[in-house]
Amino acid sequence: MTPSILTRARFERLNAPFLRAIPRVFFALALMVVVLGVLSPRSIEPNNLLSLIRQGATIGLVAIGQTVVLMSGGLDLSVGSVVILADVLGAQLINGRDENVVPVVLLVLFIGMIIGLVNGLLITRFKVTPFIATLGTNFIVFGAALIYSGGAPRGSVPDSFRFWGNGFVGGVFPTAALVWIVITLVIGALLVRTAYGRKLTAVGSNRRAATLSGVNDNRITLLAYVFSAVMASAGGLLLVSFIGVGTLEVGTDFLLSSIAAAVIGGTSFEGGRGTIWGTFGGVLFLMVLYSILTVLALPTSGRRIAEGLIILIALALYTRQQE
Amino acid sequence: MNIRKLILTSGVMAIAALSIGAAVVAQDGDIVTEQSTDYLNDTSIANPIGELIETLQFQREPPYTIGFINWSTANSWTVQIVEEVRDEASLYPQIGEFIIVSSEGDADTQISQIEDMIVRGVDALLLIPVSPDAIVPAVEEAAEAGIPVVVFASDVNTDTYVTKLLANPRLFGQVGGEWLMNELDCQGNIIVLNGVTGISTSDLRRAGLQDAIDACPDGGAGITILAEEDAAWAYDQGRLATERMLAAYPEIDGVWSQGGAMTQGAIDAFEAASRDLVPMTGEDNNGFLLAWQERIPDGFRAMSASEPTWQSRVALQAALRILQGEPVNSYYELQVPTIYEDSVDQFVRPEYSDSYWANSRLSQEAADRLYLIEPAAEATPAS
Repeated sequence: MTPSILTRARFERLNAPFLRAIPRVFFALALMVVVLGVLSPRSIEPNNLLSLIRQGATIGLVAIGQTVVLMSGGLDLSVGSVVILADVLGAQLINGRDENVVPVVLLVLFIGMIIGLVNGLLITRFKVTPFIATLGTNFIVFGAALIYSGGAPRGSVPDSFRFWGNGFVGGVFPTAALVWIVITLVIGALLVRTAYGRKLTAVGSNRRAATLSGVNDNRITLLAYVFSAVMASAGGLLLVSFIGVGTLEVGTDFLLSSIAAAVIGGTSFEGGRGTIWGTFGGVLFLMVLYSILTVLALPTSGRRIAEGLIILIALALYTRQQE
Repeated sequence: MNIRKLILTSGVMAIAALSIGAAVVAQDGDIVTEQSTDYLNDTSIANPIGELIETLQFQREPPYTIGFINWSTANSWTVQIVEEVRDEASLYPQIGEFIIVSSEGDADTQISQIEDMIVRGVDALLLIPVSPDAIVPAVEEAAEAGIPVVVFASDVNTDTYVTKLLANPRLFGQVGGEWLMNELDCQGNIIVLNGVTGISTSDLRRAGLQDAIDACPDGGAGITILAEEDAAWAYDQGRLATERMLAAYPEIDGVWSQGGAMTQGAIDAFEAASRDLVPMTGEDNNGFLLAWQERIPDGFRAMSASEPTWQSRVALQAALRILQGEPVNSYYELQVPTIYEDSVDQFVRPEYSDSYWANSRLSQEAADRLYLIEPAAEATPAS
C-alpha cells in the first residue's frame, strides 16, 4: 500500500507544474491556431505550422534563458546584444570554413558564459540591481560587437553549419525547430527534476526565506545569468546559421520577445514561478499571432495596437485564472 | 555598501557610454594626387532646386576644421557613408582636421554633439539629422555661432542650415514600383516589405510605390497588394514576413521591397517554400546583388534602386565650396541611381562581404579594408 501512495504522491508532485502551467498558454495557443486557420486555412497546413516552429526557434532559445533569470527574480536586459555579438563573432570567425565550426561554436558559447558571469557577479557580488547591471552589459556587449565588426560585419557560415538554422531533418522537419524542442525538453526536465530547479523557484519567490533555509542564493542567481547569456549566444549562433552571414542589423527584438514569451507562458515577472514548457508555448503564441496579423493585412499602426492588445488580453486572462 | 554600488554603477554606465558613439579624429596632411569628381556641377547627380545662397561671410583661409555628425555606427550604410567622406577628405589638403562623431540615433546625443562642435569652433558642420524637430534649436545655435551647416541624408525643420542635400525617397520607391508594374503589366498580386513605418524615408518610399501603381493605365485596379509588413530593412524580418505571406497566399506575382537585406530574405523565403521566384525590387547592397546575379540564369528578374553612400562626398564638397566663399544652392536633390539586369555585373563584388553598398565611389584600398573577405581555405588534400 505505502509504496503505491508514495509513487502517486511523487507523480503528482512531478506533474503538478505540468498540469498547472501548460493548459493556460496552450489553450490560448490552440485558440490562436484555430483563428489563424479560419482566416487562412493554408497557413495551418502542416509544413507551414512546422515553419512557424522554426521561426520561433531563435527567440525560443533566448527565451529559455530569460525564463530562468525571471524565475530567479531577476531580469536580463543584455540578451539582445549577446545575440548580435554571437552572430557577428560566429560569422567572422568561422569565415566559411567547415573545420572552424565546432571550435568557434564552443568559443562563442564560452564568451557567452563569461558575459553571464560578469552579469552574475555584478548582481551577486557587487549588489548592482539586475536592471542596471544587465543594461550596462547590454551597451558594452553591443559596443564590442561594433568594434569587432567595424560596423560592417564580414564573414559567413558554410552550408554544413546552415543546416542547423536553415535545413531540414529528413527533408521535412526544420532542424532549428528540432534543436529548440530538444533543448526545451532537456532544460525543462532538468529544472523540474533537479535541486537547482527547486532552489531557483525558492530564490525567486522569497529570497530571504530561501537563504534562511540554507539555499546559496548567490550561486543560484549567478548560474541563472550565466545560463541566460549562454542561451542567448546559442540563439545568436542559430540566427547566423539561419541568415548565412554576420549582421548587426537584426530586426527581431530578442529582448522584448523573450520577456513577452516567458510571461505569456506563465512565468511571473516577479519571480518564483515559471516553466520552460510554458515559454515554449509563449513563443509559439507570438509566432501564430504574427501570422494572424499578417493575414489580417492591417495597416502597421493597427497591427501594433492589435499585437499589444492581444498580448495584454492573454496576460490578463492568465493572471486571473492563477488567482 | 551604497557608495560602492553607486561607484560601480557609474563605472559601468561610463564604460557603456564610452563604448557607444564612436568619435574619430582623422588627421589629414596627405598631398592630393587624384582629383575628385565635381559633384555639385553635375545635375545628373545633384539637381539644384532651391535658391542660390551667397557664402562670402563664411569664407576663411585653410586649414579647415570640419565636423561631421553621423547618424549611427550600427548600420552598414551609414558606416559606408563615413568611409566615403573620409576617403573624399583625404583628397583635400586644405582640410586640417576632420572630426567624425556618431549620434547612435539619439536626439539628445546629437544635440550635445552639435554643441560640442560649436565649442570646438569647427569651420563647417556636416550633419545627418536623427530627428526633424528635436535638434532644431541646436542647429539654429550653430548657425548663430557663424558655423555653416550642411544637412544631408535626412531632413530637419529649420531654414538655418546653408544647404541640404537629400535623395528623393519617393522617387526611390517610384522607380522600383514602375519597374515592377512594367514586369507585371499592371496585373497581379504583390506583397510589400516596408522599412519602419513612421520613419520618413520608409513612408516616402512606400508613397512612391503608390505613385507607380496609380500611374498604371487602369489606375492600379489590376494590382492587389495582398499584404504589407515592416521588416526594418533587415534580412531576418524580411524573410519571416515573406514566409508568413507565402504561407497565407498561394498566388504571389511580385515583391516590392524597400531594400536593405529584406529582398535577400524574400528570395530565401521563396526558395525555402519551394515557390518559383517572382520579380522583386531591392537596393544596392552586395548581398542582394550577389543573390540576384546567381539567379539570373534561372530567369529571376530584379532591379535595384540606390540611395548612394557617396552622398557624403557631395556634402563635403558643398562645405568646402562654402568655406571658399563660392555660392551654393540651398537644396540639392540627389538623383536615384539604378541597377538593372544589364549592369548588375559591373556592381557586384563577390570578394566583398554582404554589407558593401555597391553603388560606391570608395577607393579600392578603402573598400578592401572594410569589406574584403579572407578567402576560405583550400580543401586540405587527402593524405
